[in-house]
Amino acid sequence: MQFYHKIPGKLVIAFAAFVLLIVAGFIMMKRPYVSFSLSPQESLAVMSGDAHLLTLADAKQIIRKEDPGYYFVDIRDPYEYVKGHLKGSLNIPLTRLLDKAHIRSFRRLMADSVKVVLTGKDESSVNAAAYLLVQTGLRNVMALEGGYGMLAGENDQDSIPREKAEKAWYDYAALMKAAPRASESVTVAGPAKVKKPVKPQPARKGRSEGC
Amino acid sequence: MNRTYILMALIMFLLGAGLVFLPQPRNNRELSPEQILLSLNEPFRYISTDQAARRIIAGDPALLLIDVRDSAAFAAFSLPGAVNIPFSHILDEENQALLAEGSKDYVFYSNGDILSEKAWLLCSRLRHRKLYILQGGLNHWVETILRPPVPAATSDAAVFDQYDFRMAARMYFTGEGELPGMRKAGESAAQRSVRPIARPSGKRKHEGC
Repeated sequence: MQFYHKIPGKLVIAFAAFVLLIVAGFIMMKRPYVSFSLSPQESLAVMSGDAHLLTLADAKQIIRKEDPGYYFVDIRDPYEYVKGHLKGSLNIPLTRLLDKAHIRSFRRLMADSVKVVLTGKDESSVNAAAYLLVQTGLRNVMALEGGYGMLAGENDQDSIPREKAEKAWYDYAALMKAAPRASESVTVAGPAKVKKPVKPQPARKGRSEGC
Repeated sequence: MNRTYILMALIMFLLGAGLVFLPQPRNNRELSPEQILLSLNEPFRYISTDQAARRIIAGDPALLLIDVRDSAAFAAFSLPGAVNIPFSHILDEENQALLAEGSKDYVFYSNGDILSEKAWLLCSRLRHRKLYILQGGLNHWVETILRPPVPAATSDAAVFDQYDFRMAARMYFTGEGELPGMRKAGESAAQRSVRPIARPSGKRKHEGC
């Protein structure tokens, strides 16, 4: 306790340090620029509908009319974009989609009620990105059905250029029924047997060879 | 001395008032959009139909297939061992409890991979782990496992191995036999029957090592 009395103004110094700490904390604390604004239940309701899916027929019409109410964003990698892209579309690679500058411009487009249409290799490559943006409150973001390859009508090997990717293309139950049961036809078609020419090896003579 | 105390108390009050302007507390029960965007780029959030077939046949206990289509579609056809959680019920309490267990690899599937990806997106936002999507969904399942395309004769050996596996898996899932419009199972296998290379004739000379 003797030392306690020897430092003058100790209370003020301690207090100043404390205040400094708190002020520094206030300054460092940042509100995240992008966060989810839709609750999970709201998102579920949004995702259940088709409101954020731009059908191919509509997209073709928009492109033909050069509708200013739609803005196409290509989320593929730059090298794929360079190889060929929709005329007038902007390239924002998937990983940069949540950059502050892009989010800001998306918000501005939303204020002007312009729709942002994400295009990519196929629908499943833009689907998650589009709904991620929708969940952050960008109600104007849409996913293009089919994707760029589909729109351009090119036969891209990588993409799955099929319409209505979520529709059942086959009648699965009928397909399983069509397969005859094992008891009906037991034709296990194995590979045709190949006779292996087995050469009898000549008996070695007494001498051992090599090591 | 008394004045100092009053001043200090005042400053503390001011700091306390500053709390009002603090941003909302972060929701730690959910992932941030940036974290999800990072995992969007990872290819291993998908499970291929081959991998799924392999694991179903092996009876992998750590695999749980979740059918997110509606219950009528599930009743008509489903993958072996799958449970049905229709997409509209994915946020129900008991279904969330199932996913929260985290003891298995949860593989969402639907007709394509659009609906299952939506389920994946919602559930990974809610911090569930080990969630996967069956790539291409049931449509791709039919095209690869139930009706595997016959590889070109010039294909790699690995492609033929994959084809052989798919034919075997097809037999496993459908019960043997041919589907209408299929090539015969043995046909391509016979084509590529390997003729062993005959040994060069003539006696081998003593050659040491």
